Amino acid sequence: MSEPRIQTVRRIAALARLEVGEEEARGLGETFERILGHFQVLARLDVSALEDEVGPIRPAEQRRADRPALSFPVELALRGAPAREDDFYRVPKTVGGEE
Amino acid sequence: MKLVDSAYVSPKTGKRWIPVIGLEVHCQLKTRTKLFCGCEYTFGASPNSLTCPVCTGQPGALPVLNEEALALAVRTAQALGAEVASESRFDRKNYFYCDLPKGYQISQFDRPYCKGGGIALANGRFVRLARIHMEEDAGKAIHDRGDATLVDLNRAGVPLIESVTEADIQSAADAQEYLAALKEILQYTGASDCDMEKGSLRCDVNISVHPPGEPWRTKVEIKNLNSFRYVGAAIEHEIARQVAAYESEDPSRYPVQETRLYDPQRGETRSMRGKESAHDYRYMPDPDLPLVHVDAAFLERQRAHLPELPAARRERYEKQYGLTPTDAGVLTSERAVADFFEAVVRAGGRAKEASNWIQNELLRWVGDQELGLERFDELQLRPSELAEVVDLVERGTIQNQAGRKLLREMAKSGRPAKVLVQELGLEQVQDAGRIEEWCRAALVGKEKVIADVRAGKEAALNALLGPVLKLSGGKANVQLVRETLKRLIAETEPPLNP
Repeated sequence: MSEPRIQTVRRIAALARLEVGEEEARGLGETFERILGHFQVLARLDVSALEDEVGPIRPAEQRRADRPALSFPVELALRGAPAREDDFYRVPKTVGGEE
Repeated sequence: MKLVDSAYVSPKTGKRWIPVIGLEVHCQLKTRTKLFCGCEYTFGASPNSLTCPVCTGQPGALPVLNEEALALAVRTAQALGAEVASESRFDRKNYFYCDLPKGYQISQFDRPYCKGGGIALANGRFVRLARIHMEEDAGKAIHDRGDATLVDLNRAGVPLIESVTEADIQSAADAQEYLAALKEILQYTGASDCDMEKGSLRCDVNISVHPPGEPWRTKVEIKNLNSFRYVGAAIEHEIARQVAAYESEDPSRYPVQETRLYDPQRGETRSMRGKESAHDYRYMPDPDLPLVHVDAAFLERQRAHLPELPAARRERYEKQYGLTPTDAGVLTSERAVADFFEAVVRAGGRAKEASNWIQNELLRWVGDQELGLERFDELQLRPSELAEVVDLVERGTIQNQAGRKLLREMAKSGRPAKVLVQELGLEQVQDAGRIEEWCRAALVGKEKVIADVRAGKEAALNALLGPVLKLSGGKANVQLVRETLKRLIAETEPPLNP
């Protein structure tokens, strides 16, 4: 297991706000390496003439008119909430937003 | 802060420093519904009452672009002289935060819908726009409720455009002027109401300083400034802070690339997050959304919606109506005001008088509790009604002061001028006998004023006009009052020892 690979795992874990232990990082690193190894096969293709894309087809272009549709009733919206306070989702204290 | 030719002069060393400033402005588009779903957005609605599978990121839900949002975005670009791309793309900006239900924000990364354009400042400098892109807003996280964070997702998915300038700005004043002009354009095009209190316009500042002739140095980002005043104050503070840091010659104090927040209470910026958590948004094209194509016909339709823009209107007001640049500036700073002014003129009001009445009366009513007026466009007065009042005053039917009272009463009650003039007894009094009575009463005990008038100081007469008008309930004809006062003073015997 290379040290750079472990650092990649740590970095991605930090971005995902996940706490990853030493042992876990090693395990994940190996998995990463295996998965990324498969992608190396694709790297052999010359794609310089192609644009970045995420799939072979794009959905057909459609747009909607600016007309209101029904929203969730609050009760339904909050049904999946981990915890609730009044009509808010209640989550562990998170200060320092990205945006 | 001392500014000479836009350079900052250090109060400590007298050295000149060049500030380099760029602005990123998020503006909420004035659509009824969100960017990718049909949830209707209303500011202040009860928490989590305006969400659906799409804007809360439920599995399988698919976003569909709101065409009106695209139209408003395109109109803004056209008004700013920017080039609209015939094809643009939505990307996912990945980050984890509790107000972002999908774990990514739909934004535009390397293929924004428009590039270029800009705004000319009065000092001749041109602030170039690098780009404008469309994106969805995040929800709202509330942190001041004990040991938890509360999340309201109503705002999640609301359409925004983010405009990014080149680093062409060199001072707080330039930044404020740019923002004011941008706000005018956004309001004129109908793209946004730009209500900063409701967060419809938010500004981030990128700023660095360097000695003249040297390369640019490390830039610092100041986030989420929600008033033009704060933008100015934050820039001034940050320039001084960075200069002082470099002049300390202690490299540990030198500015680092970081995000800072402006604290209006203390008037300073403080670090929000450091280098170690620098952004890595792992942008990728959003596979759920098709590419956005804008053809010539769509562009043409949007261009047809563009109103005459503020700069063009100002110029026309000066030429067509003979208004001063200042008056033209005040009237055009808000589209609703300019539209109202022109309607008054069309209804027969004289331009100069209409301009004075709007500036001296109507604009001062904004924020008036009694009238319940928060914004000019809520005014319950028709342009033709102001034209009528202006005309009544011009013809001498009522006094200026009575006109003000009448106008206010009309705005309050919505009743017609003619009825109110009668009811409030505002019609001007021209009766010489009554005017003389009021004048005699006002002269009692005013020997000093009388002596001054006799000595040729006609301006002293003004001190008597107020009392006479008060006695008459604001109805006495001012010209007649002046003449009567002069006559009475001339007629009275001069005292033996003036």
